[in-house]
Amino acid sequence: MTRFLRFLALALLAIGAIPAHAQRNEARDRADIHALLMAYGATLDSRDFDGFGKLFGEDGVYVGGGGREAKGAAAGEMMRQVFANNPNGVGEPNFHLFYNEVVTFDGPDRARATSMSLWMVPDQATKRPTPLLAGRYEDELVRKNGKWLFARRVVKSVTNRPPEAK
Amino acid sequence: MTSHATEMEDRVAIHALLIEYGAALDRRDFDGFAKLFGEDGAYQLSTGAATIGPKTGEMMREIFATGPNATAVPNFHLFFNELIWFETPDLARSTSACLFMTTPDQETRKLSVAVAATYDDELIRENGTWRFKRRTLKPLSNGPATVKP
Repeated sequence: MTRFLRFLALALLAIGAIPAHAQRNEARDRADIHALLMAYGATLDSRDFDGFGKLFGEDGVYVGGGGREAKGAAAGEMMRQVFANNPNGVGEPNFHLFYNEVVTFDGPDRARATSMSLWMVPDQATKRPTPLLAGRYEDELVRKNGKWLFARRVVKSVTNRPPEAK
Repeated sequence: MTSHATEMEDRVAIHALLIEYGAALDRRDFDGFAKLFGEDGAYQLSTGAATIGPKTGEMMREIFATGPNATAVPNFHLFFNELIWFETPDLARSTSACLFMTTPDQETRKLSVAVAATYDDELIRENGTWRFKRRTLKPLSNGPATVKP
């Protein structure tokens, strides 16, 4: 029995000696974070604004392309208004196309990501899918209760600025 | 193809290298761009001689200053169809593709595909960092417009 307890103690010490970042499953975390980044567009594309707000948890901050800011569930409400107003007068169906994703970890429960997207909308004349907006995302991500969420997402528009002064 | 202990983190690092190629150009960081090729990495256009190491940055600086890339701002690289495989733990190959997106109409800033290209890469780990050993760029072109009868 004493030998068993000694073995158990050594095993526990060994587990405790492994750094937290080595104990986690990075491949799983990368898959979950990728799914989070995809869910951002998928919820907007399906007009699931409640689901969109949940991606930010209670206090995640969303800074939209125009600099407007919302926190948590309010992010969903903000996007509900944006799509209801339809300032660009775009047709449907429209969808997000994501690319250039890079994820780095700051610790076992914190990560950063950069990525880009095109917002594809039908051309009014031809109905062909056409890129209307391009955006760059800078994300701070956090794992809360086992789930990866946006702690902060900043959207930077890379097109459709007013023409530069000549 | 090999499988090795650090394969997953190597894939992550190589993916970051492939994305940084475009990101450096998009932010006009030509010195940073050249570092992706180390001292002797070759950047090979489909025709002509390869450009080596630090000279790759100077070549791209010139292209962006005087070539067609200078006129349609903003512009950016969009990467897709990435494949990576390993020949040894320190040597890998990759193929991928890219759209170079521009906004030629400065009134509407409407996005347009300026160039489509594929990349054929040899990648090497040097001093713990992955870099291009050789990158071959092959533009995809439709050729001249068909003459209508």
